[in-house]
Amino acid sequence: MIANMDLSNGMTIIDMSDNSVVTALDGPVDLATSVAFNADGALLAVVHANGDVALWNTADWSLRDTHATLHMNARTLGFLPDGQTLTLLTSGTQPLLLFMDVTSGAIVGMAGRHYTRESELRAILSEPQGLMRTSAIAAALAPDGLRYAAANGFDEIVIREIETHDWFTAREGEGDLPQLSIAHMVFANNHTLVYMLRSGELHEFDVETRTDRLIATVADRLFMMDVSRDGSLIAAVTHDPDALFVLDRATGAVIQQVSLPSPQLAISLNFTPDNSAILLGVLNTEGAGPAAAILRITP
Amino acid sequence: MSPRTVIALLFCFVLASVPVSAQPEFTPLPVEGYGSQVVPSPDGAVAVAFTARALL
Repeated sequence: MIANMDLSNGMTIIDMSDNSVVTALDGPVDLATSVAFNADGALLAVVHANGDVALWNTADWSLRDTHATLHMNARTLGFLPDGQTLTLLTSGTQPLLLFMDVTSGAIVGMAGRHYTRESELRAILSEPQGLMRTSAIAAALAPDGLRYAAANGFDEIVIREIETHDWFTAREGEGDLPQLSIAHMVFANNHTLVYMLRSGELHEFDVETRTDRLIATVADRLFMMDVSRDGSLIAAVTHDPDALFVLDRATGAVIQQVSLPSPQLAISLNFTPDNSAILLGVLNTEGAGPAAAILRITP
Repeated sequence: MSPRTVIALLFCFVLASVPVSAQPEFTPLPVEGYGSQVVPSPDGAVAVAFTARALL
């Protein structure tokens, strides 16, 4: 039903000091799928569902450039520390990581699963649920851009090193049927991947020691998670209880728990950079009223 | 100070000592529609809200 509605690309800039609207961006019309600021915040990159990448000057919110990538449905956008290279990470049936030079718009690199023979891919796809083995349900890029992780439908996590093209399995898949349990993953730092299982477990995998650690089991069901920029906190939206949890990543201790009317309505979850608050995007079935909110974290 | 005043003061002290765990509240942000994703800038001064992909 909602897919038939007019979902124009409404992009709003909000002043976080007083929750007022700064401006609405007027540029490419297709739906935005992900956004990223560069490190100094001078540039905002937006990737749209049709593959267009728009670059906005945040000083005056003017459109600096638009690059057409022809690469549709990039889910996660990011900047490398050089501030010049944009990363477009696509999950779904053809997971791929592209590197774009923001000045020229040229694709300067790409990474993904390589098959020695095309028949290897065909053999996997001919298996029952084979598509679920090649698809990336969740993906995450390390802050330095040197490795990324992808989880398939069987909850298998593979980590790939960008420069060496090496890869290894961080987590074995489970069962003969797709689990689709890992919906979100975030690198807490360059070598620690935090991921969630829908069963309520939060884990982290250390790439250097290749060890997995259960951080906490927070509820009967997990919908969404985020890790604070400094890696110290985890926010998780859960069912039973229907709540938003804030946890200490090191100990798994609950710092804060706030009731939610319905966790299924949460569609984005982001810590503010100073860890003082959480921004929550919500599904608004009525189409009217607030579609986002901020929660201050209790010190 | 009368005994009644002392008791009243003592009662107030006990009340003030009880931790209050008020449920923190969400503050709505000025974006409306069927749903939004919200992402903060690196310094947290602004956030960008955009129509949620999840709606599709």
